[in-house]
Amino acid sequence: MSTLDDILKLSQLIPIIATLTGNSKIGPLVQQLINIAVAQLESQANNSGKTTDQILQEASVAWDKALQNAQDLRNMT
Amino acid sequence: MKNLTTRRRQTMTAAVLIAALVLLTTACPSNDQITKAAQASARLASLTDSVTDAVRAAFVAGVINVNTKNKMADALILIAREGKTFNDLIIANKALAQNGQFPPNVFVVLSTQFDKVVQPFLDLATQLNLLGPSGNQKLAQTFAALRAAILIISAAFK
Repeated sequence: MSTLDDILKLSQLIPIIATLTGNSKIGPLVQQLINIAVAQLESQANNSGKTTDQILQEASVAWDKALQNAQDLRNMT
Repeated sequence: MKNLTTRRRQTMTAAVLIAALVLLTTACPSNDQITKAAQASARLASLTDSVTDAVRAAFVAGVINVNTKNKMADALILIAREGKTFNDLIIANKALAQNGQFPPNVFVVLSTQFDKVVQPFLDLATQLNLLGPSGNQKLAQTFAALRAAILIISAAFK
């Protein structure tokens, strides 16, 4: 199954979930959950053709970047 | 009060439904522990960066005060350090794996380190909920979504 198929399937479920939960105001949360799910799918797709070593090297760089970003946030006034 | 309880229940129902759906569509069962661990590390690093950006945006917009921002930044720094250690541990131990599987004692070490990354994330989400109605609803929803994502990543790794 392709990533696009997964995303479409997720999108189609938004009204169903809204009906099941009986709350139209739940939309924003559902949308954010969908966004996260889509990001996860994209991440999975991006990693699918890579070797484990490549994923680990990129993750190592990503953790350094995340640490720097968090430290910059801490130093903001 | 009753309305609040009902709304929380509805929110939880939606979160559980989405989490279950994402698990069904993305879990893609694999027996390769090294790949699962590497992907979990990469996804958590990306999430850490996203959360940091969300907290920065909330602070710049005046939604959270400097103390809250600093508490969150401290937690994110801890998460990033523990995450980097998790990634380093995978690299250091991958040669010990056979057919993609870590020896049980190594998996315990990795699993323990993984919890050190995930737990501060969950604490952060709880902390945000404690801010109550005066807290930013959008930020709270973002954390609720991230919490669901973290649990999904955890389920995929363990």
